[in-house]
Amino acid sequence: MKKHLRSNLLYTLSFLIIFGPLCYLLYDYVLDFALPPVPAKEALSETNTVRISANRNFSNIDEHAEKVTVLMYHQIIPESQLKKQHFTDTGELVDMVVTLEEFSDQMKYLKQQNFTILSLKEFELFMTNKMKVPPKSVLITFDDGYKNVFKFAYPVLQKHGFYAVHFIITELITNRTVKYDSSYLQYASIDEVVKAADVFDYGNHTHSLHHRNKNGKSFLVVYSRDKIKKDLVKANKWLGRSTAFAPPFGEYTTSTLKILKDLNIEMAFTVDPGYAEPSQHILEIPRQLIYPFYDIEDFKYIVEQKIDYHIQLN
Amino acid sequence: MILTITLFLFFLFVLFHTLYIFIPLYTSTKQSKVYPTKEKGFSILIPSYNETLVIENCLNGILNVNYKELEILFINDGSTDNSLDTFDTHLMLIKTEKVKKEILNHKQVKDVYHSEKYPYIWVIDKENGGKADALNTGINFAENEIIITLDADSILEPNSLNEMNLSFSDESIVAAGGLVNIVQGFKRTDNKLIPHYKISGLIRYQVIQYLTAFYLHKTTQSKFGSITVIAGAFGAFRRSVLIQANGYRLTVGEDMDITLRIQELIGKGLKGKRIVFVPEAVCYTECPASFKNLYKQRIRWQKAFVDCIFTYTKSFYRKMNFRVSTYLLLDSLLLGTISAYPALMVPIIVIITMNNLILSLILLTMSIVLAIMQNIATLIVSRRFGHFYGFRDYISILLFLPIEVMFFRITGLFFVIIGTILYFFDKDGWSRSERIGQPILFKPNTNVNIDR
Repeated sequence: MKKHLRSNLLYTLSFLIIFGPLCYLLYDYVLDFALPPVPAKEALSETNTVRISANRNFSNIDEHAEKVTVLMYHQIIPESQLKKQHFTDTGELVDMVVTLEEFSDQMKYLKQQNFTILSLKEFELFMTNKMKVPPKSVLITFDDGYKNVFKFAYPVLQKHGFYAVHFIITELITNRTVKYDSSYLQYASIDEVVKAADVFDYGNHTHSLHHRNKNGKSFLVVYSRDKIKKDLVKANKWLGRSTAFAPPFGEYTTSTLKILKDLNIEMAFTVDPGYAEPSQHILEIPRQLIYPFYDIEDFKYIVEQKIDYHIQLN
Repeated sequence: MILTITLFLFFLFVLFHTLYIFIPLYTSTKQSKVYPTKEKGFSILIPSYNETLVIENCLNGILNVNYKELEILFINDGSTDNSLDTFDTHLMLIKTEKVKKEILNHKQVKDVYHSEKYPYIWVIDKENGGKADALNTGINFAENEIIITLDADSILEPNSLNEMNLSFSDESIVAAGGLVNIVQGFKRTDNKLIPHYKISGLIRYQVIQYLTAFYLHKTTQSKFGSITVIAGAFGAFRRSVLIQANGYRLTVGEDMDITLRIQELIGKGLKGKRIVFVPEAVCYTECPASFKNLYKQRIRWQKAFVDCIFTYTKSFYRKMNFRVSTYLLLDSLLLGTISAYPALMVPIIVIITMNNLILSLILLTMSIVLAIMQNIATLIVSRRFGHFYGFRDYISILLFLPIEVMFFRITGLFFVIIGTILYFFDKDGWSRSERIGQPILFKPNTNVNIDR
């Protein structure tokens, strides 16, 4: 065996040099896409993340808003990266997806028209009648914690100096930051969540209850109070500081509201359309879902608060 | 789910093929050996059916072997050509009697002939009964302890039997396979065979494939005790084991069948006995030179394999030991046959759906790189056993490797797929490669130059 020591070593070395990187590439790919993601080992509360403390003083403004538009988004994906699964059978984009191009235009519009984008704290003060906000005020919210929001929406918001609230399903936040691939439904990693904390306030979207049972009922509606309470406490603990909640699928019961009160959750957001007013039940704040088929005119109509929900309701 | 299966199969594939590279690389080396002074008696069985074209070559090879304790039995399996006359021309046959032990059943023997010229050569003329039947006849007539089976187109390298003799001096070895080289991959100079690579692509592919299969795969299997085929072209067995296995079974692939039967015996009664591969024991054989014949040969091989899998289904892990069963089921069946289907489906699916494009690309690159690296390992290992090429040949081999991996291997996949399907419709009987009958390799009665 000693006879061939040199050629063996030479071969082994070149084998490792050539084949090794390929193995690593595969390993990397498998971790990113093939294996089920591992939940983050560290909770957001365990990191030294500086949270948004924006609390501007709007009292020197003459006019004040009576109601604030709360926008709701789920996924933001560039048009070029849309895949089959982002479309319905009839070829329309699914409600959950707004293209990055549309989203950018909408944000640009808000910036150009001098809208005030509120932080969660400012919005809370408005809702509790503790502070007045300018007439053209908006709260931007995202649900679920998708990676594409962090990848595409976050830079846009940051560029404009906007704030937003992101309701995340804390259990689904992953440990490893993977490569983005729109073919997969990817959730953000803990690192991405931490990094985006200068734009996002994180809200509670349950720790692990973002599911429906066989009959199509949301877990939040069918589970026992104890179970729900435990889960929400878990999510709150994970988030560290969370005053806001959004029930999965917008489904909740009076019992849910009681739990929220017990847990001292300040605000909860529904998926029912409407504008937010301090007179409303603070645990049932309406939101405007921005549908993918809205053009900029539709968007203007919403944020200019042209829709009169009072008439519609009466 | 599909992704998990793919990755699992791929992992197995890489594992096996890495072992195939590194085990031979670190363990095979030609050592200076002490050959036993005593030659064990060998009986060489050569079943022949319409082999007029190659009889002369075969004889020349045998006459040139450096071994004395030898009897050679040609079994003329009811040939319809003038085989018997050809034998007579070269051997000068005399009708005679030969002691026969009636142990194995076979078709009726018409006559037994004896060569006047070479008294240790016999021709047994029998009714046609197939290759297995011919071999069984030979076993009954064979007098010696060790039986060598050759194909009629196999040409023994002069020192090959001494190597076998050395191997069988280890009592634990009950059967051994020799190394089969493709004769078209050699050119003859001064009565020596020198490897060369100025040959057609189809033969180039087979040369590289044989070298890899023997120097890497069989060496590895031999180390693990998991040899599943002793090639019919050149095998050696203890007579007692062949009898214990109840001789050959009439099937498409009697060589794999008998090997597995012996593995069964090893797994049950003959504990501690082994089947080995002897890379120094070399024979030369012709490979199909046309695509049509290659196709026929490979389809036959695949049918033989499938047939054995069905025949031995109940033996795996019960009669056969863990290593043989695992090797056969994982490498040969799962990776070699079943995976061929998805391997060809995957590119189609990927192109249609455009999903997992990057993964497919990574896997494809890895397979190609691994295959090329393995071929290079083949060149290194075979060189250690004296299989030298000239510089120009090495260049052409290196240039040929990517073509081999990307084109010929895909063709190989098709053979596997088609062969497996055809098995269920038509299970061949006696069939063999078309003979070409290349000119004499080792001239008898000349000074054979063996530099060992």
